[in-house]
Amino acid sequence: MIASLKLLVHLVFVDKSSVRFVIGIVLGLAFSMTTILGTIGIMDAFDFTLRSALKDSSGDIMIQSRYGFFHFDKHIEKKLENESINNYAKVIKSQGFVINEGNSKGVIILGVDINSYNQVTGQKLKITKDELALGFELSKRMEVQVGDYLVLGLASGNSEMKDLPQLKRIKVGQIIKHTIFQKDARMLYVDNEVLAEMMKLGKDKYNGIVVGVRASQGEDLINEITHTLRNDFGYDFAVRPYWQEFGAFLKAIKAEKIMIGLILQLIVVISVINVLAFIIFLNEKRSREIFLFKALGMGQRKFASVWLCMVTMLWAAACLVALLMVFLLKHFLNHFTYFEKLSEIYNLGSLSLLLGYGDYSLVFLSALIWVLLIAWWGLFRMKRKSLLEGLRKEFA
Amino acid sequence: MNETTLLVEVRNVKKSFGKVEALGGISLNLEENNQYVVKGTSGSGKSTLLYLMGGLDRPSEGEIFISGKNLSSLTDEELAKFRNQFVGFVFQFHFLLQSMNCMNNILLPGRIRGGSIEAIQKDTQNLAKILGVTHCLEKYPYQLSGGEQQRINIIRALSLRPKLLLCDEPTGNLDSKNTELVTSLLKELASDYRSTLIVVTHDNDVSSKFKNQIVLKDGKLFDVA
Repeated sequence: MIASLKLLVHLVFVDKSSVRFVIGIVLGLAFSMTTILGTIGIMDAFDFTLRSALKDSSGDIMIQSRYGFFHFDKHIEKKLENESINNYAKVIKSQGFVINEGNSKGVIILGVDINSYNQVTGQKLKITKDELALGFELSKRMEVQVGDYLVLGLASGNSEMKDLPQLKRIKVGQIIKHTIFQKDARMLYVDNEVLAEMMKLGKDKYNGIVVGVRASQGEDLINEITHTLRNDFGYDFAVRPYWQEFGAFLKAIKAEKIMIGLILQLIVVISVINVLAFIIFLNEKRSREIFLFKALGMGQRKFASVWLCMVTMLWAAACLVALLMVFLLKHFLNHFTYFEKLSEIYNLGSLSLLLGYGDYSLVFLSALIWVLLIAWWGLFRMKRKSLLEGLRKEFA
Repeated sequence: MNETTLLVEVRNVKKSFGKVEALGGISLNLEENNQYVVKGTSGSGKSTLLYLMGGLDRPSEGEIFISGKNLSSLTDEELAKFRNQFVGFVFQFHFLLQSMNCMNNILLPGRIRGGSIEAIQKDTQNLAKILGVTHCLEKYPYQLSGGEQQRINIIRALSLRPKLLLCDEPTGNLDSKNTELVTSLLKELASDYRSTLIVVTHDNDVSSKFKNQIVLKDGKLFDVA
């Protein structure tokens, strides 16, 4: 088998034109597989990063009052007594604006108890009661650094326009990155007692709860608990899993991934047509050798296995080149500043590739199926020619 | 008294290519370790008969037995193995691959068979010495004369020590000096290797060297001498 394979490989690499053809095919196939892997990888990474970032910044489930503030009493506490709920943090969510030397911007202010909020979410807030934490993009926009001061402005209330806005000068204690551009550009955190005082809310008044679920990796469990909490809290509260904030976006990505994956099969088909051209080229240019091998005793089955083995080797070489190309693409995405500019469009801090074994297997195996189908067709075409006629035609 | 064994048994073999009948029912028996020439005019079916005996093609009707084995009953795979291990072919157009040197051309049947080729390499050196082509082994076919190419072809045909050596117009492209040389070498080597030699030719000078003569005419057996 190995000796026969060597003979066939000799036919393929016997002259420069054949070698160039082979290189072209390997590169073409590798490039098309890289295109598909790159597209799937970017979408998977987008999906994964967005979900992780949402989870880290919002906890597993967000409960938001639809009608203003509520008093966190025993009734509400009881509704949160669920063995699947790991922990929760009470929050005050409001809108306001920040001012710094002529710069101002509307922001979402989250009043949190630092310890419980850090436990429920993946945030690492480290601020005192006299400090605030703000998103990285917001800090750039406001041109502030840790230690600088900002003026935080809040409306006194939205029922009557009877008071002037509440203003408070607060020190920037921390600048944080959420991995989500929009959150980095709008989020601001202060201690909930400070915010409650500014808003004149009184004790134990909140308008939201963030919930952490046990074994929170599973989205099914989060869905289940969300459903239970919706029933328990009723219509007065909106209960949403962490991904729902960008739910439509994530659904669109999933649909796009399938559609683009299907459309990109066309690229594989184009490169497989190159393989077909190569097989026809071999059939025509090397038919003398092929007929002689058969005359000297290479059986059709042996020839077929050697032929398929050779084609599989070409595919394997293309897969290796594709892996290298994917690695380079990852490197470019991670290290070239140009790609960071796309972050605003994609809502993420940066673009990256995320590919699992399943993605590689799917792309490589689908290419293999195409290549083997073409190789089988080539074999069938060869088998149709009579050995004797072939010998006479080629050697006459 | 010498006992003879039947090697090739052809039973009422017919072969048609479309509507053209190349062989119209031929029966003959050929003995082991013997030498035969098949004569006939162009289109008489002599090459077709040779290829059928070599398993390169299958008869339309009739049967061919080689060492008692019915070739028609063999699968394509078995027939390929039979060609590799049982038959050596010498063709008029030597069928040497220009992309390989002569040694690699000679080793082709051995490589297709698989396994060690050391013994074949050793045999090749001996045969090359006998045939006077030692200097050609590392050369490519296009660097050799017609006579040298045909001698390389003979070494390849004998490389797996076949029981049946089939030659189709082996001297067709050679001058008279090389024709005589190649014919006598074929006879000597077939005898040394205990191969049954069957030579197809329309050259009377070549056929006169053989005791056993089979004459075909219009696809039928005309005479056996």
